[in-house]
Amino acid sequence: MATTLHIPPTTQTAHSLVDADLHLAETPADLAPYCDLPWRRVLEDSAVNPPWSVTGTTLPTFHPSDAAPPARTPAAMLAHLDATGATHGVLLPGALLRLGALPTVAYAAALARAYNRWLVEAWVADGKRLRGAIVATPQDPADAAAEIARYASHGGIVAVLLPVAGVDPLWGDRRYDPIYAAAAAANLPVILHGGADVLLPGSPNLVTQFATPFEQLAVSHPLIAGANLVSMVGTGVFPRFPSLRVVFAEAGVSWFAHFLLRMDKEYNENRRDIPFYTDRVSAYLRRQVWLGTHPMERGTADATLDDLLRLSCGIGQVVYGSHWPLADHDTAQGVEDALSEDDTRAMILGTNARALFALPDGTEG
Amino acid sequence: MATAFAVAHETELLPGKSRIITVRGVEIGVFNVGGEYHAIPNLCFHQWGPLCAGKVSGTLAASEETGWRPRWEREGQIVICPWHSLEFDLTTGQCVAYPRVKLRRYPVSVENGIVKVHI
Repeated sequence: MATTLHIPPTTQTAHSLVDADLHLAETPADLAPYCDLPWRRVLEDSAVNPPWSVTGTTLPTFHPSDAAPPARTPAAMLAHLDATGATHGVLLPGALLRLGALPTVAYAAALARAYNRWLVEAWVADGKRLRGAIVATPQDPADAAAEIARYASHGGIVAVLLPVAGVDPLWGDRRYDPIYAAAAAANLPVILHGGADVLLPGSPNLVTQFATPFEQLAVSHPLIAGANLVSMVGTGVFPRFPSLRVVFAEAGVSWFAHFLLRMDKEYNENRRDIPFYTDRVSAYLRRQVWLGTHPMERGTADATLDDLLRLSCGIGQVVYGSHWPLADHDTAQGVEDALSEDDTRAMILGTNARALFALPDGTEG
Repeated sequence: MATAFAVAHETELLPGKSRIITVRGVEIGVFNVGGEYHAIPNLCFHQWGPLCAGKVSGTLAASEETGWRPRWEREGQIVICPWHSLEFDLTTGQCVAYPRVKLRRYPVSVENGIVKVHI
């Protein structure tokens, strides 16, 4: 079908591919039938309500207008997997990435429950090539924990999405402990994924300081991913939940090297501030943190991206994600080209994600 | 064969006190921790700071046992490097921050009231 031809077949990789960062484009009409009253009425209203009305940008971005239309059906998404050569895809939300910015707690929780029902019933019911991440409501950790427990054993659910944009306080706050406890108990990794972060309240910076998309994109995802990581390290999330696996998506990979090396330095001198740790912070993070490749950054003439990854989270903890259908998505070929070693490519394009999300080889189930 | 070197008279090295001596060009810190003597090199592995010139106190730990709340412990047996604050347990030589780092420890004896370190 036409929408799947956006990525030409020549971008297919020889490696067994998993795409861990595919986005749905949920609309109010999609979620309304799955939403509890009274909030269903909000979704049925003709007025566009948040988070759909939170655009995240007020400036013309000059993105190409021929960005791929999103997949509206599982068949369209499967056709996209086939066109890109991926055996499996992990589905993440679209507008609900901004769930954390909503001030109305009950509405936010109802939206997450509706999205999770829709995801499970309409997209990942067979638990085969399409898998999904249920959304956790930061504003209502108890409800989020109940949702995680509800879907823990569903074969189509492989992760829990923690919205980053607009979240206040940051994800290290102890109020979120029930979410981490539930995810660890369910053996589901959590995925922190941003979206218009720098333009929403809760970002640890002044949005007016970053006037253009160039400035906003360069600083927002890496800075806010780093802020959440530091916050989580600071309250001991990693030692307190030793089986918890945490994925940072949409922030790239280079930021992590800075925070890893810097936190080891601060641990050396200020260990008493984080007495939960009995070894350097990197020893925990290299066991418990994974990074999504998007947006793909490149090495330089004298240092490869592989070198940088070895210095940060390690080659074994990076997973390919395209960020499709957004205009700035990365192809598998683009990621393959950015890496210099074939073993590294195979791991990042597929092997690591299969281990992280417990996906089988090939396209069978 | 170790040689004994006098450090101080025991009345000069009461509990909580310490002294740094230089033996064969090596600086050694000798500490009285609750009546027991412990001797370690006056050298922090991190950036070669003068470890034994650091303050002696306790440390903070948090674990499942403490409900993950910080608890003050090992009062009087932790020396803190004055340069970058790395902590070491004087009674074991163990670095608090790094499980694989343990300082060399020298035997200490008391003969006729004289505290001696054996090298």
